[in-house]
Amino acid sequence: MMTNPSMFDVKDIRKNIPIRRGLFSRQVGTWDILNGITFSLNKGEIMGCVGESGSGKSVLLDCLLRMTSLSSGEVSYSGRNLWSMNQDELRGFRRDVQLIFQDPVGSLHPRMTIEQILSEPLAINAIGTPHERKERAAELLQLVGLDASMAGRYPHQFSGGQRQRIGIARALAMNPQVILADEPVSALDVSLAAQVLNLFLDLQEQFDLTYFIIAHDMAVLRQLCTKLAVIYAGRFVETGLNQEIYNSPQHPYTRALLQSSPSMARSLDTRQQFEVPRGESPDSARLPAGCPFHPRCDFARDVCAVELPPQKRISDTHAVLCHVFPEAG
Amino acid sequence: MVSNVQTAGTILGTRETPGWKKAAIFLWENKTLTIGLVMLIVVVVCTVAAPLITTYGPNDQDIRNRLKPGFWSEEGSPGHPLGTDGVGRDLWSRIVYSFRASLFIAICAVLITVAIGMTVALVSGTFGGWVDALLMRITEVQMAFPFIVLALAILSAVRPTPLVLVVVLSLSAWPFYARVIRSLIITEVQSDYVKAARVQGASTWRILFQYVARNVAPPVFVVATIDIATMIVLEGVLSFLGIGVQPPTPSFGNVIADGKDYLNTAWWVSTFPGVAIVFIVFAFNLVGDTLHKHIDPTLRTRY
Amino acid sequence: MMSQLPTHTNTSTGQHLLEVRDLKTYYKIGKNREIKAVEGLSFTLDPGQTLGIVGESGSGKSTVSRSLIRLVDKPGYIAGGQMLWRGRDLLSIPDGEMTRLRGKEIGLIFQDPTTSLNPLLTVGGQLLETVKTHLRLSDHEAQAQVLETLELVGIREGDAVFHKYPCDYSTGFRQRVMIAMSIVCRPDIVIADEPTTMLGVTVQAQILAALRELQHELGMAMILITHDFGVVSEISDRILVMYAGYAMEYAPKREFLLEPKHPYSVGLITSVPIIEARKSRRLKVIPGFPPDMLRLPPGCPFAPRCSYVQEKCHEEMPAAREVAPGHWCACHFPVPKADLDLVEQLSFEETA
Repeated sequence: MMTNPSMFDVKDIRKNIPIRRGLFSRQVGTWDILNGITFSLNKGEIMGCVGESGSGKSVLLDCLLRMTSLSSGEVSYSGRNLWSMNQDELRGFRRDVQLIFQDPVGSLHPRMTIEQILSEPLAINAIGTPHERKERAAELLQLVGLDASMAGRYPHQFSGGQRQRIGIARALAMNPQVILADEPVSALDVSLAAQVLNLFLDLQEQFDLTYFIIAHDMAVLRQLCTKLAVIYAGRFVETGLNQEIYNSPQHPYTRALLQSSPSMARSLDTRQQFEVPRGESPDSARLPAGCPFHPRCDFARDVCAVELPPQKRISDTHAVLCHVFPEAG
Repeated sequence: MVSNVQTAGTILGTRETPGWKKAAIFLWENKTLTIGLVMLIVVVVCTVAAPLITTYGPNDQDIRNRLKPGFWSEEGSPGHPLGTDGVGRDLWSRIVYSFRASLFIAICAVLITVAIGMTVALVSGTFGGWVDALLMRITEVQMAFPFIVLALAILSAVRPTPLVLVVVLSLSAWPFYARVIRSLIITEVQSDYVKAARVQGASTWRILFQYVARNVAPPVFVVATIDIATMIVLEGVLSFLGIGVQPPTPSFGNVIADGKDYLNTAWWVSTFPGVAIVFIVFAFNLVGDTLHKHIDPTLRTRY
Repeated sequence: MMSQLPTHTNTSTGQHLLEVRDLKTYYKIGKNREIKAVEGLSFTLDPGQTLGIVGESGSGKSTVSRSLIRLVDKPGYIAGGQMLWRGRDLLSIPDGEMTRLRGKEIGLIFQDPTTSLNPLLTVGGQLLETVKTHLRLSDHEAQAQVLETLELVGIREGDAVFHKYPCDYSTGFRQRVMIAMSIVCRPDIVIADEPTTMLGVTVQAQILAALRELQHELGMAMILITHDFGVVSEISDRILVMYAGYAMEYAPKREFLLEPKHPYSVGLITSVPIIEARKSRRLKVIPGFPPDMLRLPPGCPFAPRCSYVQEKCHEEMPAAREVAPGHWCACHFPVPKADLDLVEQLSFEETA
């Protein structure tokens, strides 16, 4: 039996930032941004992470990219702890793992031509001669469906959808293994977003890529991902395969997300109501005791306000962090 | 497999027009810039070709023709279009030669200011922490000193050679640049494209010079251009007070000072150098302002 | 060019609350060049109804919201058409009166709450100011109205809002305040331009529900402009699709989703990822890129990207026709029902 090799192994990572006030920077509290996240990402998987702003999902990406330190826990890539890599391993890591940004405007340097932007990764890592890099830039443009003649233009001369493609092209420059994406289509128009989503799937097939995508739109992740994690207040409250999460969601927050996502189909069904979860997003400086979701949960019991819920396994691939669900019996 | 090859369609296209024609159209459509450029050319000519456009030297005295008015009056002496000053020196000549001293000092001062400001900003922005805090406190102290007080303090102890003047001017101006450049750097460093570069493994040096500098340099350039005018005015103040460029070398400030005793009678001696200062300030401001709008390639029009 | 009026159920007086006829808004760019941002828009709206205007960037939908309240920035100008508010043409009333209507009878919600709220006034104070400007209420009554409105949008801070400033709150909160501002004078219609784009899913749901409730309680009409199909479906009674300044399709929601006629509408609907998808699939995308408004081709602007295109489409812009009662479409060759595999696509069962 051959399982896919693990690309990322994340073990119980936490990130807590002290809040300091006053002349002497006294610590008055902590921002508990990540509170124990564990998962692995295997080759060929498309993993999605859904949550709202403040849930910690962006910080999670930064941790995977080694852009921010961990308060505790470990992130390993190909078996090596990110923070104990030597120079060579680190360089290899930087070639293997790339990032696609949400904002196509801010992620491309306004004063560099597309060709320069696309050959930067190669130049930084001293790959190829300048001529070879130029050719590679042209090749990358064609890969994402843009004309190679555009290499001499500046980012502002392109539309949002095209800029996002350039961002994708840049991520592909060094033949990465893993691509992390931060809300890759939320800033795009409907038809352009659809093109980019299809492009993601095409590239995945073509290059056997592994993805980790964070988003707030559950429909997008349904389309793309093989497995998902729902993040709330810095924890994965539910993880599972695509069909497990969408067909039999267990955690009340997962269900709240699904219910509050606007849907064309549901709008036609007069039997269903547009469900509205109550309450506000959690403040990571002031997380409630016990389960962080309990103040907003319709199913909360006494124990939920006191104790952190345990992780319950529903299947090999489906887990949920809840006292109440799945219901026994 | 991947579709949708883009053709020229939606990109703001470029047609094939010859470069000079594009430049001519550009100048015609941006008349303010053109006017500013023409004025700047006048400034440059005055500075560089002073001997060619004056008949008398700036220090040629002619006591018999002192305080004569210029072309607007019948009493004007031929050859002195703007009149003469208290010892008969040709005013036009003195003004034209003033450009040299003033511009030289102003440009040097700006260059040194930018150099110091940028260095401090880079150090501050890169190291952060207590280094940053310390440097910023220094800038604040420096900025709290009124320019005149500082100038008087230094120039009462040291002779005002051009070098000293450049130092005095730079000392008062570098803190502003340092602070502004520092905040520009901090903003840049937080941008997504810098993050992209870090994800690709770029070193800090590369990020600073390839990415940050590219975005910071143009606005600094524009501000520095306009600042040349400011320096000229400041130097004029110092010269007027007698602690700037020393006579007999003409500079706008001391030519104005020469005429301050005759304001009611030979008003031209003080007025025309003032006009010249306004002219220079205008020139640099016009150019700098319109440059500012055009230097940013991200300022595309929506339509 | 929708120069004919869509028929609609009217009020008892035979007059609609808002009737827009053939609205045209253009932008002057350079000599002799104009961008026709809105070209011939027509629709009607009655109390309690919601019109959803959908389009992508460049479709002209944002220009529509500004045209309706006569706040089109230069170099834009309203080039023609009529906007009848309770029978009176808004385009012919004096500026002063228009200013009075805005806020009092016509509420506005714009996309970015950060720049729309005054950072120097307290949240409660700004709302109070709006109320006092438009309505004659005592201080006590005004305060009560402000607090009541805030509750409607889910803000239960009570008097604290009169002491706190916008910077003390999150973006989601501020957007709710913006919405409260727009309805605090209980206007008869609210024009919302991408009101929830900046908000998280759950907050968005809360706000849409609040708006819906207000409509039921107060009979408030709403025009919701967005690019989000899900939002538009959940909340609109009628949907209008714009492309390159033209209204391409205008129909009641149900008909629009089940039987869209315009190829662009069909393309859009199939491009939207949906939660109910039975399995992961490639989306059927609309090929090509959004049009360059400076270089629109002759004929139908959608022709270059249309899979049903024929000769005629490149020659003549189709006029809007009523292809079914209340269902208008600007296309020479509307999509036949047989071509739609939408039922399977949307994966739902039709209810009676």
